[in-house]
Amino acid sequence: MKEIIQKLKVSGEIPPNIPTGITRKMGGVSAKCRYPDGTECRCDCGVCPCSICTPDYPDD
Amino acid sequence: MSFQNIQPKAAWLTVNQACNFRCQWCYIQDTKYQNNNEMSFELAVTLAKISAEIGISNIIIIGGEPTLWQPLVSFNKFCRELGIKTSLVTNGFMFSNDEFFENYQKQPNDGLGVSLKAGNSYQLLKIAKFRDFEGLTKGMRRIFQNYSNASISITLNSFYLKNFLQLVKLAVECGSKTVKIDFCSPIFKNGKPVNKYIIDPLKLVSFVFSLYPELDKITHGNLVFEMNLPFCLWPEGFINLLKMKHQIISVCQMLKQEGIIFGPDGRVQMCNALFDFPIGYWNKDFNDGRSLINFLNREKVVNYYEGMRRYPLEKCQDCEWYLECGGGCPLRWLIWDPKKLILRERRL
Repeated sequence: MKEIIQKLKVSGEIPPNIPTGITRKMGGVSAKCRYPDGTECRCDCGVCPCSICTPDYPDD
Repeated sequence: MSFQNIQPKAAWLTVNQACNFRCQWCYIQDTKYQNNNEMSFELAVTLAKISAEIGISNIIIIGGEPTLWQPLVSFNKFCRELGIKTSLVTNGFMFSNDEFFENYQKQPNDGLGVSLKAGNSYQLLKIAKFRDFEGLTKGMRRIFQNYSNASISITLNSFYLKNFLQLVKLAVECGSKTVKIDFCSPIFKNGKPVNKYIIDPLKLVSFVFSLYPELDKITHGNLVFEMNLPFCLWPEGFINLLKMKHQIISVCQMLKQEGIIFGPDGRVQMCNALFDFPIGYWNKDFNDGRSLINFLNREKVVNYYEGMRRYPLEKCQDCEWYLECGGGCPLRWLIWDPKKLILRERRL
């Protein structure tokens, strides 16, 4: 690994913090969809709105 | 050296190097796809137990092509009983095999990531040396018909410049609700970094930006860019747009120091592409959870991570986006000089 690190054409300065990045649930939007009565989807499909929990959800 | 408490949150198990495809940009090709270099079930179980000991609750099974790994279903069962979730990264072809599929259904993974390689039969043959395009699409459709927690990812490389929209349309037609796009990073051949199939970063930015409206439309907005390019390369406002639409994830597990990758022989790698540069081995540097954490926090290992985390340019130190950008994939800086690539001041 040392040789790889030495070959990187970078500034040499080590950041004091770890980059945290942008995260989101894979496969879906971060906001969960809701049933008509306001409760949140619990199917955990990750692709809300989905046909599992909201079969009547209108298509785009 | 500043002490960084390295505590992985996810583990990748590279269970084999065998693959039924021969994708020309794949990091595995330098291993020559050796059939006999695969992780034993016993080692996989040991590493799963060690992962659980240190609080990891998510294991990603990769290869090679892990559906060719005979213990897959048994391992899925073991992890389920241990309380660990598993995700499988696959090209999807074996799911067209009835015998495989019948067995797989007994103990499926909790998540499936399908790597789409081609948009048509000619392209599949040309770039992956694989003839059965119909079988591939059958396998992919089966996955999406049966598993809701599955999605397609596409590694954008130079082969796709003429038909990228075709690939994305195929992904949606096969049933994937989300398409993840990542950008090809350098691989190693004979120990040296190569960029043969990587699109020049500025050309890539222009290409993706021009296609974005159509990509967004085809996927109904269910699109995610795994952003491994510096944010400042993109046109003004684009990163903010992606953030607003929840279409971006950024900073790899290596830079975040959140993952650990095990090779078939129990080696520890910092990144999939760095399999030939292991930083340690099971049964030599660690044999249980406590010794693994101690190993990861040794000065030498911490220095490796810090070396990879360095700012691409001095001016990145003052960038308000650094913590979300991370400078992109550090392996790019083996090929490109950030001083020549990151030229202008950008307002994101």
